[in-house]
Amino acid sequence: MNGDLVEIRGLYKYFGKLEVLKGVSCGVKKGEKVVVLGASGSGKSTMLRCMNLLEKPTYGEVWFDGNLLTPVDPYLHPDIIKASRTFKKLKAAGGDDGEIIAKIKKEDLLHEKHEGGEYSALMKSFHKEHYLNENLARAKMGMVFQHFNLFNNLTVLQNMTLAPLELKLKSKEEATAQAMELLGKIGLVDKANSYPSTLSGGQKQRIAIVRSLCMDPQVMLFDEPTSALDPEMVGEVLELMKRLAEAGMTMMVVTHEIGFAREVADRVLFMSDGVIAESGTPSEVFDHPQTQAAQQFLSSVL
Amino acid sequence: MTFADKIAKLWELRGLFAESLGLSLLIAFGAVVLGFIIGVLLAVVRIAPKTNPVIKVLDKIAVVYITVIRGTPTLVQLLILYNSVLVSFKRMPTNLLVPIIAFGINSGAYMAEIIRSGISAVDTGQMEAGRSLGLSWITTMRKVIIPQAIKTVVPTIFNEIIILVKETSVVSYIVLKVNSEQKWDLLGMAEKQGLATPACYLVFLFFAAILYLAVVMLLTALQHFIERRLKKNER
Repeated sequence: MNGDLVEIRGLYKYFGKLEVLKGVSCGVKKGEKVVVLGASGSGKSTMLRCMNLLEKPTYGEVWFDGNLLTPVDPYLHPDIIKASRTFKKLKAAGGDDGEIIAKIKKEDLLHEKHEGGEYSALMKSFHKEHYLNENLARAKMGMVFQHFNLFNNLTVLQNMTLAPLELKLKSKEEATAQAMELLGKIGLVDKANSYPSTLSGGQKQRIAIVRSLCMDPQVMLFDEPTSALDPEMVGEVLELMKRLAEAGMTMMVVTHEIGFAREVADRVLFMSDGVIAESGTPSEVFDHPQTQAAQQFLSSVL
Repeated sequence: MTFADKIAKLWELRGLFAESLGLSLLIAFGAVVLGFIIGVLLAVVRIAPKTNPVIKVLDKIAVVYITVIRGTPTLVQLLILYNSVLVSFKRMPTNLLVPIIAFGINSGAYMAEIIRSGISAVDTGQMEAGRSLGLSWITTMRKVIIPQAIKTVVPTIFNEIIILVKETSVVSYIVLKVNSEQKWDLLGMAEKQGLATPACYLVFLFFAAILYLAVVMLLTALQHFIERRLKKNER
């Protein structure tokens, strides 16, 4: 869809009654580095976690490399809405197509089971045509967590080779050689046979990053990668992320590191209260914030 | 009969006691293996996300199983199985499968709850990391979550094994056969010999108690050895 490698469309996420995301749409182009900022509770981590379906969106669609990862959301497809009984009924009563569609969306009038065969057939065929199994998509989307989440029962090397081997993407020799090469690049070859509990936070996070790289991902998602680190270890992790950016990796980074955003981001998204309040180049968002929420946030962190 | 006579009598019967101890241990071992397998399977079913109807049905079955087995006495379960479901095993020349299955089913319910608590104690981030790498839920369970869960529940599992070893003494309520010959477990042997030589009854019972105690102490030593090994693995 329009050249984005990862795209989310009309995303809503409720946790019980709590609305965390209220209609978020955005995309990441191949090679683009997007940094997401926002106060805690603004929904930025939830949005990122929806991208690889660690959270299942309540409404909306997630697309990856032209493939649909979520169920079809009929409200995003006017032609599917037009096939529904609800639409036909309203149309018979008269009115403009656009207005009827807007009304149906606004009032959530579609009911899966009562919309007739034509509607169901369209839903099914669209799903069949575009759907990609979430495990296949995740294998190509790296994710780095705030709390590293290295597998505690495995050595560093086993952490890195587990997924490529289990998914039969590489031979044991290939996977090991690649892992050792990546460890070499971050200067941690000597830790290959250590267990995570013996490593510092900065080492853990750098290994978590190269563990993702062992899957040769097309995009890397970072969920506050430096928030759980001691201050003196933040630098080494950001340094590795910068090298990754320079190497051309497509990245989406949720962070509080304004300096990193300025230096690396092609685009900055500012989230507030479950929506994307601002989007632009770092200088646009940092130097000329338009919304009050962004101005407040920036004055508190800068 | 002097005490020395009683000990002499015991010495005379040492072969029979050793054999019956072996039988008790064999039953306990089989039941532990079976119970552990049942426990892991039930725990995984109980913890699995209830997204598809098959899992939902299996989960309901697991809940009923655990409730019924934990809610009724082991001896009652053994006698019911012996006289109904496992009645064809009962007629076989070697019917040790009856107590092994009965105790295994019993232990499985307890093991399930132990292992489930261990799985719950593993940080949710471990599963998320596995899934984010493209691994399936079950692969992540197998390779990452369960190995960590087992490690945390080793002491509790051993507790269950120790209880099970002693619980096997209730098999003296049923007739054990090996190659069509009637056999006795450790307590059963002490009882049988005690009836034959009433003066020695108490000595035989004490001897059985000492043997149970020795086995449990060996198991405790094994537990500590395993705990130390698992700890070293992380350093």
